[in-house]
Amino acid sequence: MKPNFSEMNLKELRTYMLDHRDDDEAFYAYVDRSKAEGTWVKMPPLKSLEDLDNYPEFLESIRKDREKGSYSMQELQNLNKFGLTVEQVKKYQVLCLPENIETVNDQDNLIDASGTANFSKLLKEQGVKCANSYDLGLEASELERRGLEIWLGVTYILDKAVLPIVTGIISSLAVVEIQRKTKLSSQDLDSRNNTKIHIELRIIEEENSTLIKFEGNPEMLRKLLEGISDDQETKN
Amino acid sequence: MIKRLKINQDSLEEDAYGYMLKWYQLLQERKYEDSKQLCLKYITGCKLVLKKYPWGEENQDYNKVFILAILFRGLQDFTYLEKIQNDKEWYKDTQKVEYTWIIMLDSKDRIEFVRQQLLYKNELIEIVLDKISSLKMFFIENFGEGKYLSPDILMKKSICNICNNDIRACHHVAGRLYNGVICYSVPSDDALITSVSTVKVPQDPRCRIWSWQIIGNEVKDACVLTSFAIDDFLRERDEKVGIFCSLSIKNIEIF
Repeated sequence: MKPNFSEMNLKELRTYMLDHRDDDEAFYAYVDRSKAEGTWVKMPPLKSLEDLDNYPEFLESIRKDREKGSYSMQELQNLNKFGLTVEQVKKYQVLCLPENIETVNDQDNLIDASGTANFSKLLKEQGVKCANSYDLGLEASELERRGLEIWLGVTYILDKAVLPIVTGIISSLAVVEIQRKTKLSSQDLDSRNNTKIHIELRIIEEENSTLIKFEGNPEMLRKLLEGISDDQETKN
Repeated sequence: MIKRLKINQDSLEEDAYGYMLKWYQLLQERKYEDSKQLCLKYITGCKLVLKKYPWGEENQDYNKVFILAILFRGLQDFTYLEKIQNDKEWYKDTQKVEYTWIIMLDSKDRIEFVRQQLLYKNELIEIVLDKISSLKMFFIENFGEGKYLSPDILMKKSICNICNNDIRACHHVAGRLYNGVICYSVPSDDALITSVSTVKVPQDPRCRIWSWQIIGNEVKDACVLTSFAIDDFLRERDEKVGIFCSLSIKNIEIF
């Protein structure tokens, strides 16, 4: 028997929706409630990097979202399904996780994005306490996508102090990939414009949590993350 | 058996530059076979150094030898490009077009890699890259920008070629040079192509769809994956591998 969605708060509804991913009714109830409670910001597709400056309400929404504490430590507790305790993972500052870690329940189906291994190694080089699927004892396959895009899977930031380092690493990873993949020729401009970075980034704190699902220009991601870092510094 | 040139640690770059000048002179005299043989001899010398490690187990100069081997393989590829263009009708032969496209990309990728690694500007490298750029423009003018096939590959596990550990476990960064060896991941198990897409900007432009491969809604014998790596000729099994297949594509709008 289904619960009464109208009696649930948004957080409970979200938990139910994530546990019952085939339940369309729960999904639409969650979407409707999210819209009604004003946590969504509508933005047209950005035409350029500079265009981001025209939507300050986007960064503001992230800040408010963080203050509301809409996700809390729930994501870490969800890792229990793979035998990982909150205490185990909290000793790290960054987790570079399989791209489908939040949507599958079976280790056999976990898939690492092809850019995750290098991403975690570069973070470790910078002295960040970082764990990838191997460090956490997860058996994950690896999906190599041959297109001109960079896939970094799901990343949890457990210590916001490392956000500037993460931002720098993402930028340098993108530069290396672009340099490697784009060359001379008239395709150059197209290549840079078409290069996309895919990452699902969660900044998780004791009380607050922010989710950024990003698919787009690496420069735009850098600017977005710098905006969040600046915002954090201002608050501190 | 190809004779080798001796690679001297004390005059690595000076010697290489001298051989480059010699190679270019031969090329200008249209002595293509001689210029190719010069490259092969130099590469054979580099291979020996990278196999025997005569300057101690760890030495930064091995990375230089690796880079110079890549350079001379790129020049060898370029020799073919110059030779084929002597035939003014070469672009009317579809097989030659497909092959030249691949060799052009091989040469370009290798020489651009070397240019990125050099701390100084080398005018011969710039000349070669300019010529490759002109050839690429020729392709665009005659065959269009092209569309390409791009597969997704699912691997159970990947191994680091430097330390043979799980690629997630070690500290080696894919794409970096370690003691004359470039780091990359090797699938340890059966890799599975899970999907193939047509894209405008591929990771590997060798997987190009040519107009003569399209029959109705089908792309015949198109390359979806190649084994190209800038250092593939240095590996034990120096052979090029490509996966070719025929694909049905709905609403094909390629040219």
